[in-house]
Amino acid sequence: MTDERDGLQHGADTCITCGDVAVTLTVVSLDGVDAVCRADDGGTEVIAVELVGPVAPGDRLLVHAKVALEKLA
Amino acid sequence: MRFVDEYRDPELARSLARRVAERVDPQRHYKLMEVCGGHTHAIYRYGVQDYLPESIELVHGPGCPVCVIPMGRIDDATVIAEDHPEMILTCFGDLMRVPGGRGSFLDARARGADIRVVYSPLDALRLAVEHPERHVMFYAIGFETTAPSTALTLQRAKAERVNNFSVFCNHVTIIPAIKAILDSPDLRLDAFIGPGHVSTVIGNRPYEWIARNEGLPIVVAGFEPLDVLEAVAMIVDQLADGRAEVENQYARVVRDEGNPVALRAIADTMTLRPWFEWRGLGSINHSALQLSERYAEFDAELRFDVPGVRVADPKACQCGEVLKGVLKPWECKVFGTACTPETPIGTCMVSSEGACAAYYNFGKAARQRVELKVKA
Ligand code: SF4
Repeated sequence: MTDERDGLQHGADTCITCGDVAVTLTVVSLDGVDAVCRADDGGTEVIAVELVGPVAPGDRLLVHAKVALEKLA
Repeated sequence: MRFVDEYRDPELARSLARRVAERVDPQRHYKLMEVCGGHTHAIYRYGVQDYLPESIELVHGPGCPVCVIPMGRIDDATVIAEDHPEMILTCFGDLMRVPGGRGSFLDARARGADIRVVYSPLDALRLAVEHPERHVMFYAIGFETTAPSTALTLQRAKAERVNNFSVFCNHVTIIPAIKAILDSPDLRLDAFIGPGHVSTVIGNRPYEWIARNEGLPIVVAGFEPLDVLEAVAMIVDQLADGRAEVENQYARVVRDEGNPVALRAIADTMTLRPWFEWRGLGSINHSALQLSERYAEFDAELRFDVPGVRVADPKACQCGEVLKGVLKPWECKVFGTACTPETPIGTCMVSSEGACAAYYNFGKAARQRVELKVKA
């Protein structure tokens, strides 16, 4: 996903330091203080979930820089 | 509305556009500032302006963190990386091309410095654990959206006693930047579109003074094109009714109180700096974060000599005026000629959320009145 030649991240046209790239992921399973989450495109990522309290498979999370910021209704 | 496609529906966009058109005062010119670079990006990318009457001007604000980093802070980290052979400097990819006085991080890497892109400060911490013989410094940047990830990483570093890890902290806070904009004599604004994901962390209450003291509406908005259009409609409604309130268009994500756990993590690990230099806005009191005393052992500015040299922006650069919303990107003399995303002179051309880059990539299409793009 990273193109190190030009410093762009996330493949296309978004900037990770800006809230624009907070993305919605779905919890698949728990992994200690982290959770394995799935993106809409099917890719999975380990996400830190300490800041949003207990999560369960199926929960949808707003994630920024691999850290969940909010549990979505 | 729950799913992305619903936020990009052209029919809904047209109906919101009609609502705005019905409520605007034809005698009046409206200046609405979107604070966040994410909104700037969405506005240009989806041609949001094309759905609005001519009398509504969307002014781009200072909310692109990469854009407000002064050149000297790039040089400081470059010097640390180049002076310490054991150093691995880590940063988000967007930062690699930001020009400093000694070139960018990409240039420093070409000269031999070990500078690596990470997606999260947690990746930088993992790198430190995997390379105990090296020192890993994370170049932290961003508003309150990003500060929680740095805070959480510091808490884990302390708990795991990782002593070859540090943070070069450049986190900034949104409220002082808005205050600086409002103090600027060059600009008269009618309302703000508030930042959606910053507000996920800080909540809606920190904006109340804008409505109360300044008499200006602020509507916190999401990042889909219909989010921005609906926020504009809510602002126009407020102005037509003579109201000035904080409203939350992005209630599907943002709570009034924000995320108290994230705020506590930031308060535990970081404290306000007395002042911080912002590119284009100058020095703003209490506008940025440094590591708290409890986390001093992880503070790169205490562990390493930092030159702290102030570097003047290139003469041709008019980023300051663009960041304050005084100039439109295409009004800068070097826009699209000497300054392009491939050869940026100023920071606003580096990050895709920078107004100049957003306009360079999407603005021309928007000006040709393209239809709202619907993702297939
Ligand atoms: S065109 Fe380049 S130099 Fe001019 S304001 Fe934009 S980023 Fe700055």
